[in-house]
Amino acid sequence: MTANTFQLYSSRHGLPSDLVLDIVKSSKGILFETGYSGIGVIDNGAVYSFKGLMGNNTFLAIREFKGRMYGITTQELCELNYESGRMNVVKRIPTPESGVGLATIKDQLVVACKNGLYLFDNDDLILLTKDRINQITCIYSKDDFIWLGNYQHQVNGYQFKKEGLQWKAEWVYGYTGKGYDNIHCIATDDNNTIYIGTRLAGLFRVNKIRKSPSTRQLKVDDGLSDNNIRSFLFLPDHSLLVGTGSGVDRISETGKDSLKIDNINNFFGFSSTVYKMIADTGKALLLGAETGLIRLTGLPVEDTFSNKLPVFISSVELVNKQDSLIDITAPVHLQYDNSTISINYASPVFSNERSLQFSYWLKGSGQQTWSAPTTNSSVTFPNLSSGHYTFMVRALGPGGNPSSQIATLELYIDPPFWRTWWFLSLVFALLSLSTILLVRRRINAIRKEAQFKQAIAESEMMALRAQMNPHFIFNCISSIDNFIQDNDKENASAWLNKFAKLIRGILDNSHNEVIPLWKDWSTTKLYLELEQLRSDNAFQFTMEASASLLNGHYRIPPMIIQPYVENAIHHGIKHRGDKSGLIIIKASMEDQQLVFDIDDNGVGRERSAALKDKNPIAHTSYGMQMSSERIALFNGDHKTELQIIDKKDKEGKPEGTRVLIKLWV
Amino acid sequence: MIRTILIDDERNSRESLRKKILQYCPEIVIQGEYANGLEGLDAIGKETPDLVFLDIEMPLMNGFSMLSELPVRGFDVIFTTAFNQYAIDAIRFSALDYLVKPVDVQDLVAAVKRVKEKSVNSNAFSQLELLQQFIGQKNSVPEKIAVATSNGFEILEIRNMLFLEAEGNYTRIHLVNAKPLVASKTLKEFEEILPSSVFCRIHNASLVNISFIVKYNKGEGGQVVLTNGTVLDVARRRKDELLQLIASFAKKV
Repeated sequence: MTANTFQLYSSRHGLPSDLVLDIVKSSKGILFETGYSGIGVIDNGAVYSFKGLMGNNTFLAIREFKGRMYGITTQELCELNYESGRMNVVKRIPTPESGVGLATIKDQLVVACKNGLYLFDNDDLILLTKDRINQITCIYSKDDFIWLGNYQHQVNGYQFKKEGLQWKAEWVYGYTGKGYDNIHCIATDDNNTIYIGTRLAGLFRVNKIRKSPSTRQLKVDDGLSDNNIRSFLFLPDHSLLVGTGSGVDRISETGKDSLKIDNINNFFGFSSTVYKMIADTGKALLLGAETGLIRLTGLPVEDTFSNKLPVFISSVELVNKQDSLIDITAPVHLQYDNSTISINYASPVFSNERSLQFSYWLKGSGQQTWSAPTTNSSVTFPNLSSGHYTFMVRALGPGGNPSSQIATLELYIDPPFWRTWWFLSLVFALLSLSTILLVRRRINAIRKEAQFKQAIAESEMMALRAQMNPHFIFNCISSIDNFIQDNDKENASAWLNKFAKLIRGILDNSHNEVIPLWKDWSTTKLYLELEQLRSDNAFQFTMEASASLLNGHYRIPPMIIQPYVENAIHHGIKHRGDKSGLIIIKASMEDQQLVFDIDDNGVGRERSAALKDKNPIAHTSYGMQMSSERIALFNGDHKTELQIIDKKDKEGKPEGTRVLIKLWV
Repeated sequence: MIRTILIDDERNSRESLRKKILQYCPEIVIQGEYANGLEGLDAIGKETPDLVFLDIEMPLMNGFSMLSELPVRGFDVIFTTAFNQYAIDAIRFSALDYLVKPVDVQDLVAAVKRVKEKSVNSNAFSQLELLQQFIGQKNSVPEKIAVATSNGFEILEIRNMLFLEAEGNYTRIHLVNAKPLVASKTLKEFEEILPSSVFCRIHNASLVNISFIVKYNKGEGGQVVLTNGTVLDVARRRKDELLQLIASFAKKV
């Protein structure tokens, strides 16, 4: 795509004024422009301004003639000499009437004045004709014709020819149109079509110059940028550029009687009045506008500029809040609870505003396509819900053709905090966490419960195992075996029965968590008797408990004191090495507590432990540990009362162990 | 004639054993009975018995402790115990004899017979050393075991045992870098004392150290191939157990 650049020279760049009424390029390639305050020259890139050349500095036109520049004001025609940045007035020729314009034709300079057409000849103005001339407004020449427009809605064509030595202008054509208004400009093409630009009525296209001419009027409604037509220029492709009060349009013939009008200035983004248009080198155009001298390097490809109507979003405001303009240089963020907004947009096309329409599309809102064209230049969206929106707006040209230029605005309506991702993830995380914690807690509780149950079961089983100490069992049997060897039937039978009774008691009781005190008491007694037999009566024992206690309702865990009794025998009495061991077991009630008192006269714990250390194969007894755990379980919240007293004699020597067990029954 | 003393703290056990010996073991002469290790030590010094029936659990000084007090042991020992699995294991690892109480007469006669038939009439010093080791390293798998042979016994490192093969009442033990050894114990007895995490009874006739298995051939029961190339049949019923054991062994390694 070729770059279609737009260059502007104005007073800021050194021109005498912004307004440019006429432009001409000299044979040396120097550009001369005229305006209200003098003449501007662009010479090889340098800009010169010449003001104050004459009393009246408003030059209406400027032409090159015989190597000199000639400018015309309402009062004078002046010959100017320009040489490398300097200009001086060579001659001043007062005009017979108000000067209007200049034309060069057939190497002659023709001067149009208000009421006459003059030939500049020999530093003098020679009247060519006054035929049908009345209040001339513009002059145009082509080939051998001079065209004049006037205030009287008339256009006249004169043939310029030489008769002998005399130049003549002979009237040939004349058109009068009702709506012509003031004629600003005239142009003719090669096909006998004449274009007439007016002050307020648009342009007229007059066909068939001879015989009953047909005219067609083109106005804003037909697509022109403005009804004020100031200048014409034919392009090499025979399309016509029209300088209007609001930029430049292009009229191309697309078929018989069918025309296409493009608003070119919209493409370039300017809209000032264009008084003069000439072709520059290349495909460039020079426009004399009210804002300066405009250079366009080439025109856009045919179709592109028709839909290049510019559009921009001018402001966004919150409807609920006064003076709440929002910065739209960045994507707009709004709160979910203040999201009624009004978006204002505009197209900087200063002409033709009535026919200018807009179409918008709020993507993200559910709107599926562009809205119907509207002339409104703002749209209001009430209560936008949270989310991301893209607002797009475009302008529609006179034919309803949408412009490809689209203005967009990104809109973010922030969700309420409880719908933001971080809040939701926080909630999710908290929920997950609490669930995990709850589940874990529950699992722990279950596990603990299971462990507790297992501990009870294990302690019961271990208790049973402890009582059923296989060593004890087999030694008992071995003892009974001895009676059999001796043929001592009574003893063998008696001890076998005792043994059987003990085993039965243990097995029976092991089913129950608690058993009556008396049952356990008698099992303990049997156990002691059998131990006595094993040890060959190495110790004596007594068991003391009141009848009321034994007959009472008290229930205790089975075999709970047995481990302590066993301990008294095996780690206390047995190490004595003599036969005077004594174990005293007492049961009594003290403050709702059942107290067992197991007292032995063995070697004491200290000595026993020392002996055990020497014995690597000693049977590891869990009996006492288990018993203490069972006592704790049985006593529940009550403090476990288990006391082990190392008895000492007067000299401090150990003389046995005493165990006190308290059960909350 | 075997001069014998009994050491047991429980009179009834002692008496019971004595009566059984008198009745069923005519070759034994009982020189005395003692109730604990201290008395026993004293008696051994005085009587120099050929055989000692030694109870393990005794107050003041147990049987093992008593043995360790003796610098020279020119006698055989038959341990007696009511129940002490741990002690029994140690005795078995050392290829020593033991009797459980109440004493079964047939076991008693067999034990005495073994003592009588021994070419060397005393437990070798190293065998008792081994026993002490086993007792010292309570609850761990032994690295060595003593194996009774027709000539006495040998101490074998378990990790050198490739596989064991049943030969009637004897067992042929195949070793790494050594000639096979015939032990005078049944394969079943070895199966009981060798760690079951390493030794697998893959067949009626064989107990294999799985750390030497390099390959398993599929089949009805399949076959295992050992590092030295030996191929052993696996009984159909033992297959699953073997494969499981190999898997868990591999995990450990």
